[in-house]
Amino acid sequence: MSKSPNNILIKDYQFGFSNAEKYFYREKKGLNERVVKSISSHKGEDEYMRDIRLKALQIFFEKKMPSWGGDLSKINFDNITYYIKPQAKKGRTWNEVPKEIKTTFDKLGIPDSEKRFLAGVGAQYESESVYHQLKQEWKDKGIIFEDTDTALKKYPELFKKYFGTVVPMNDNKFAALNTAVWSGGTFLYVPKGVKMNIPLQNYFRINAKNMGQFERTLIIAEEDSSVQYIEGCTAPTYSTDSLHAAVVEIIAHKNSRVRYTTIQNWSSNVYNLVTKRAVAHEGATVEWIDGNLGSKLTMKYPAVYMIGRNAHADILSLAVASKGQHQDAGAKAVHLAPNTTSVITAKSIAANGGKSSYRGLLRIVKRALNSKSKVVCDALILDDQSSSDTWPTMEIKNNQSSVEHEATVSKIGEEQLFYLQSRGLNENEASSLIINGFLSPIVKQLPMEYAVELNRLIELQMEGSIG
Amino acid sequence: MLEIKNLHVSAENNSILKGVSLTVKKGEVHALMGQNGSGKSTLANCIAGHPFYTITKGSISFNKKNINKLAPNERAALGIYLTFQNPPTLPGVKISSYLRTAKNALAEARHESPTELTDYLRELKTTMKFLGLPLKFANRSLNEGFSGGEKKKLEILQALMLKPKLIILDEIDSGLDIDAIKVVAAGVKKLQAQGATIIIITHYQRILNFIAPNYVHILQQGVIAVSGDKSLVERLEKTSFKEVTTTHE
Amino acid sequence: MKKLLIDQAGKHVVNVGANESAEIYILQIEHEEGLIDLTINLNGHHSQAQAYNCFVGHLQNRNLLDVKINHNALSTSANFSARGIMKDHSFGAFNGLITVKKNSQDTNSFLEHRTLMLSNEAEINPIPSLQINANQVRASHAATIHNIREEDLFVLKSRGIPQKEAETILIDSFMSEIVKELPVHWRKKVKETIR
Repeated sequence: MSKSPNNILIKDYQFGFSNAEKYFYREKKGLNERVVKSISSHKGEDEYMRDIRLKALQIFFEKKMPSWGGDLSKINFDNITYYIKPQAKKGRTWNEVPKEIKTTFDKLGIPDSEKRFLAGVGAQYESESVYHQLKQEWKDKGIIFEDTDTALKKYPELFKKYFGTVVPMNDNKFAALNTAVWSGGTFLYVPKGVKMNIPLQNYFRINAKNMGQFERTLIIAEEDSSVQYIEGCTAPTYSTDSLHAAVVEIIAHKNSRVRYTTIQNWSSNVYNLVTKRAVAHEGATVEWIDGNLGSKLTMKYPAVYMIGRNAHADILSLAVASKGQHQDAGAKAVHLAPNTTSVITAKSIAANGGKSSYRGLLRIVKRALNSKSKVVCDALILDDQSSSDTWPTMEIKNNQSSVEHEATVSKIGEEQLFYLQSRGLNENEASSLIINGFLSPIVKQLPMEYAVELNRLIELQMEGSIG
Repeated sequence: MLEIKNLHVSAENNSILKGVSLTVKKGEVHALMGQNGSGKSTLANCIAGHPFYTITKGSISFNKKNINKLAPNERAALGIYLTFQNPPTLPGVKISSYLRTAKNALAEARHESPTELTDYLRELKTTMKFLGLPLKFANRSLNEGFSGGEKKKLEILQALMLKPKLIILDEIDSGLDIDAIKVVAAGVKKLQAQGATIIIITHYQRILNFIAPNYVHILQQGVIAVSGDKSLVERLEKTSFKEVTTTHE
Repeated sequence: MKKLLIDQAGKHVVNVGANESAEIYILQIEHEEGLIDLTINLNGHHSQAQAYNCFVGHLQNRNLLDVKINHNALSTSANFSARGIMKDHSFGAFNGLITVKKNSQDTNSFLEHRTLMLSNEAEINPIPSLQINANQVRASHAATIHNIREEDLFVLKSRGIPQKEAETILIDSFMSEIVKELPVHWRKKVKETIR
C-alpha cells in the first residue's frame, strides 16, 4: 500500500479559519512571576490561588523536560502568550456572546447540539469561558457545572478540598505549568445519588497565534452518582506553534460512575500535553474515551488509580497520526486495592508519514489481590512512510492477579481488500470500511453525533493515504 | 458468457496453471474437480482478479470482453462473484451496512439507482430467513466468530443480495453437514432461477446431487485433463483421479 | 543453522544472514547476578530466528533478560516464546523489543511471554515493546500473568485429585509447552527446579 509522494493529497484542516485578534485584554508574551501575578489579579483571585500559582511556577522552572515521548525541544516558552481575555464579561445566553466568537462556535456546530442532545454546554475561547449553561432541571438537583474560575469564587471549600489532590503541582513539568497559569476549564460536581443520563459538554478553541491554553478541569462525583462529560478541541492553522497543557482531575466516590470523552482535533501546530488522572473509590467506575486526531505532538496517558476495592477502569484510546504528526498516547491503570479490574483498548492508525505510539503502565501492588487487567493495543500502518511503537510496562507484585496484554501491528490485509473489492467496492471504499471497522470498538462508545463527526474527520485525515 | 483461452497463471514465480481452456455458456453449470494442488482455487481466484496471481499467457473473457487487466471491483460490476473457500474476517465491518454499501457501489458502477433502505432491509431479512440465518447476525462483524458452515451461508447470502451473473463456488461444501449443504444448494438454485451461470469447485459428489452439472472438468497439474458430463463424477467416486484421467478416451 | 544455548549472564549477539536461520534457547533457573542481554539481528533476506526462554524464579533469584530482535532486511521472521513460573521471593524483569527498520517489508514477528505466579512475594515485570517503521509487517506480542486458576483446580479436584497434586499437574502442564522445546539435557534440570 505504499504510495509515491505525488499521489498524496493533504486535505485541508477544515477548522483552520481564524478571527482577527481583537481582545479585551492580552498579556505580554513570556512566562515569569509578573505574568502569573497579573493573571491572578485579572481574575480577582485571593492569595490562596495566587500563592499556589507562584509556587507552581517555581517548580516548573526547576523540573526537567521528560526524556521520553515526543520531541519537545522546539517549544519556545518565551514565545507563547499565556493569557488572553476575549471579552469583558461572560454571556449568559447564547445571544449575549460577541458576534465573532458566536460565529466560530456556530461554524463548529455547538449551540445546535446543546438543544438537542446535551444537558449543558460550555464554550471556551482562548483563556476564558464565554458561555456556560446548565439546564434548569439539573441545577435543581444540585449539580454544579461552572467554569473553574467561577467555581473557585462560588464554592471555595469544595474547590480547595479537591484541587490538586489527584494531580499535584510537582507531578510533572506540565502539571506545574498548568497549575501556575491555568485559566478556564470545567468544574463539575454531582451530588450523592444523582444520575445524569445525558452528557455535558465543553468546547475549547485557541484563536490567537502562539497561544497557550491551560484549562483546569475538576470533576467530583459523590457516592452513587453518575455523569458523562464530553470535550472537543480545535485551533486554527498557523505556522507558529501553540501549546495546550491541560490538567483534568476526577474523583469518583464510592459506587459512582464517570465517563469522560475527548475528541481532540487540534491543528497541526499545537503541542498537546495533558495530564488526565482519576481516582476511583470503592466500587466506582471511571471510563476515559480519548480520541486523538490532531495536533503536532500529543502526549497524553489517561490514568485511573483504583484505590478502593472493586473499582473498575475502562480506558479507550484512539489515535490517528497523519503527516507531520506524532500521537504518543496510552493509558495508566494502577491497582491499589483488591478485586479491581481494568480494561485498556488502544487503537491507532499511522498514515502519510505520521507516527503513533502507545505508552502504557499497568501496576498491581501487593495488596491489590485478585485484580484483573486486560490490555489490547492494535496499530494499523497504512504506508511505508509511517511508523508505530508500543511501550507497555507491567509491574505485578502479587500472585493472585491475572494480566493479559496483547499488541498487534499490521497493515490492511490483502485478502481482506480483495474480498471487499470482489464484492464491488473500489480500493478506497474497501480500505475505508476496514479502517472504520478497525476503530469501531471505540467509535461505537461515542454519542451518535460524535461518532458521525469522528468518522468524517478520520476520512478527511485518511484521504490521499489510501487508494 | 465466460471464455478462458490457454490460460497460464503463476504466483511468486511458480507456474500453477499451464494452459487452461474453458467455455461456459449462460445458464450452464460447470463442475471443476481435482486433487489438492491441481490449481482449482487458483483458477477461481484468477477469474475474480486476485492480485496475488499473474496471468503470463492467455486470456479470460466475460461476455466477449477481455478482463485480464480489470480490477476485482470492475469484474464484480460486470457480474462476477466468487464465494471464498476461507472467507477472511473483517472486524468491525457490520454485515448489514457493508452489504448495502456493496450493493449501492455495484448499482453506481452499472449506472442504476441505489436501493431504498426499507426495501433493502426487507430483502435482507427475507433472504436471511431463507438461508436459516438468525436475523441478529446482520449486526455482527463480517465472518467474525462464525462457524465454518455459517460463513459459507453468509457467502451465499451476499450472492443472493448482490445478484451476480456468474457465480464461482470455491468448495462451498467443505466442512458442511448434510443439512447445511441442502440449504446452500437451495440458495444456489435460487440464484440459478435468477439467471445465474454457475461454476462449482468441489472434491465430493454430494453437492452435485443437488446442483446437477452440465459439464464436469477434472483439473490436474495445471491443465484440464478430462471433461465430460455428470457420469464422470460417478466414475471418479468409484475409482480414483488417476484412473479417470488416464483411462478416459 | 545457528544454534545458541544461554544459561548464564552475559551479552550475546546473533547475526542471521540471508536464507539462514537461528535457534536460541535461554534458560533461567539458577542464581543469576547479572543480566542476559541478547540481540538478534536479522540482516539478510529470508533470515529467521526462533527463540525459547524458560524461566523458573525461586528463592531470592533475580531473572533479568533483555532481548532485542531487529528486523533489518526483507522477508524476515522471528518467533520468541517465553514461559515460566515465579516462586518464593524471586524477581523477574523482561524487556523484549521488536524493531522493524524502515523498508524491512514483509516482516513477521511474534513475541509471547507467559508467567505463572506461585507466590505472593514474587514479582515479575514484563515489558514487551514494538518499534515498527515499515508497513508490510505482521508483528504482535502478548504477555500474560496468571496464578493457578480456581476453575482448572476444580476440574482436577472433582476427579478426586488432591489439592497439592492438582497444583503440580497444572504447573507441569503449563511448563510442558516450553520444556518440550528445550534441548534434552536441560529438561531434567528444569523439572527438578520446578519441584
